[in-house]
Amino acid sequence: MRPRVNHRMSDKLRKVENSVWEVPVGAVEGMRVPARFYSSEKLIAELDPRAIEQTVNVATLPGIKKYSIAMPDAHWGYGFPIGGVGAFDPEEGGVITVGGIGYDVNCGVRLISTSLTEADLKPKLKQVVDNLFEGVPAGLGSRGLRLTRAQLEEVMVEGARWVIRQGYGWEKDLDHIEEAGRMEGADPSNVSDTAKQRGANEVGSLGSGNHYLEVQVVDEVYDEVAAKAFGLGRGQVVIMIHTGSRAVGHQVGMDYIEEMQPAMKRYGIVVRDKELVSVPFNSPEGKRYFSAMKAAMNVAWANREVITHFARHAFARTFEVSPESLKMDLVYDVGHNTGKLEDHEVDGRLRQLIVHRKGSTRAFGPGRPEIPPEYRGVGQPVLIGGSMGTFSYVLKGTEKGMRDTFGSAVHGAGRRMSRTQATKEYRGEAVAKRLLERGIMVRGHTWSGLAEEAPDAYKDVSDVVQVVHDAGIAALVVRLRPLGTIKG
Amino acid sequence: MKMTFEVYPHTADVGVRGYGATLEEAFQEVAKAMFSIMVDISSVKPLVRRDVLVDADDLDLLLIKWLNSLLAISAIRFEVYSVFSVKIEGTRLEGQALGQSMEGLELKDEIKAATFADLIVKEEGGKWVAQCIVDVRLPTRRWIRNLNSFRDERMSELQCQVELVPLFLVLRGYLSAYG
Repeated sequence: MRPRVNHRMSDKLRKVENSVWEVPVGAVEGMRVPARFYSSEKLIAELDPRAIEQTVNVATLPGIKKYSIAMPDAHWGYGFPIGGVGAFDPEEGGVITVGGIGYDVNCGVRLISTSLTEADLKPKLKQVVDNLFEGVPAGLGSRGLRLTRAQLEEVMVEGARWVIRQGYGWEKDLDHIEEAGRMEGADPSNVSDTAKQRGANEVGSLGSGNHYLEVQVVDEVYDEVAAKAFGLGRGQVVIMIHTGSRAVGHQVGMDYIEEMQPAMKRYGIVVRDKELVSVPFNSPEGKRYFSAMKAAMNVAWANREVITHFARHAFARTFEVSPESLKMDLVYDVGHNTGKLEDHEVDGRLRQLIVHRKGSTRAFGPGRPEIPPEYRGVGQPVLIGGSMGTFSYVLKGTEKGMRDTFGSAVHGAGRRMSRTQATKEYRGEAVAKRLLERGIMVRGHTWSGLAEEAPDAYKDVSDVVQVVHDAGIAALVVRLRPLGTIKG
Repeated sequence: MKMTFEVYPHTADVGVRGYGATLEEAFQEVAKAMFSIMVDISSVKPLVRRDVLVDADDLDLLLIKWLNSLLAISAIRFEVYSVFSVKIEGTRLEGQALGQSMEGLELKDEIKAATFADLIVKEEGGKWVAQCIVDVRLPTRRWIRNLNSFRDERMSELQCQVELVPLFLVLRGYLSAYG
């Protein structure tokens, strides 16, 4: 059935507390939990009714716990809105859905520190941007390492660990990657041949779309203690990498969204949108998808690790010293299109839930064993990539986030206009020029790519981050200002 | 001229639509619409033939499988297609795609996936319509350059060249796709 757009959806919203709006159970038939929207007066007015409807659709899925959640940057996506979180209890028939993870599996952000200051970098900025542009394969169909099928399957099982063993990246990086860069239980035999054929040359490539590599400077520190724990200080140059699992993830998404359609009927699950196709997590189909999706997650971590290696060498070449002496340590790496089994307290009881985050970053609060020991006292670094020419942010996870959003926060800034609209209204060349006037050097593989990512096409990331901070589901640590961007 | 396929705008992406006197024709035409996002299909010569065989529980899913199979073959073989023939019996589709290597062609947008969004397969007044939204990536000419990287290790040099691609080529691509 064709999903209908309900423009009256906005009328069903009601404010329940500061920064939180809800569509209550009963407002739409079939809702099992309320649909919650983190927002501000300004952003809620701009919220696309279709994103509201999609958040409500998620609230009708079997086994959902507490709330279907939309982050302040939520916008229309396939199935879940982008910026959507849903957690399901497998013991109560909870589902896993491709629409809650998406076609870009484990798209995520990592942040690398340096010992350089903005003053050190300024005279060499052009050179470093050029070296990065040359050293990091980017753009559509860009190619990274050439792996045999057997090697790619090893990457699918071992993730970042595999490429580090081949000499790409540092052993200690693993301590600062979510899940140590490897999901347990990935099974390449559940990944199609097509996905493997498409992915064989893509590990170590940035890809295209909204993916980028950016040189940034710590521009503002909001929380000295947490910043110090993360190894960040004002004026420090850092590198942000935003990419995912490339075609492996796309194909896994495609394959399983097709495979699950007939299976869903057998399980008698009815969804309000076909992109939300769901099967019980504890079904053979659910388990197969989970293991294949984890294989794609591992490819993404390997990918970001290899790109880190290229970035370190581009800096080393520019400054004619080793990456080690530039202290190019990994601050953290976290995905924002993921499905993970996690322990959360619901109704006074600890449950293992399958948490879907689609365009939402895991943001675990202090004390969680998943967080590296050196960050555990303050909470997990939450990396929020801006769009081109805007600030990016590092936040920290909070206890409130653990209680209210299953330890999740925003991932960036949502789109405000359609892709086609953005491309029509902005000329890439003009965007690049405008950014250069503000001291930001951009190199992209196509001008129209630049146009698509024109910052005005996005909700203001600062507004979005402020909502998260005000709502207390994550807390501001530092702000990052872009200096040079390599655009996929 | 009677319109048999089209690419239409959508909030976050674009949709593809094919019309036909029969279901088969509509499926053939929607495939053309999809490849017209990637390339000017009038410039694609029918030099190679690829077979597609898909089976699905219903026509909606059959359409998605047909389009996604074409996308996967296209990505793996670095080819694009412009001529399609389809035979559907029940919910089993046997299709052929004729086309050529992407090398030497001016490429426009790449597509991540055909999706269930706005998905319609129906007959109305003796005319069939097949449509859905496709998840589109950015336009590029890089991909074609990268064909060379299979043979040529000096990828970074290739990447530098791509920067020189004139703006108007890319804009022209957009205008013909969305204009």
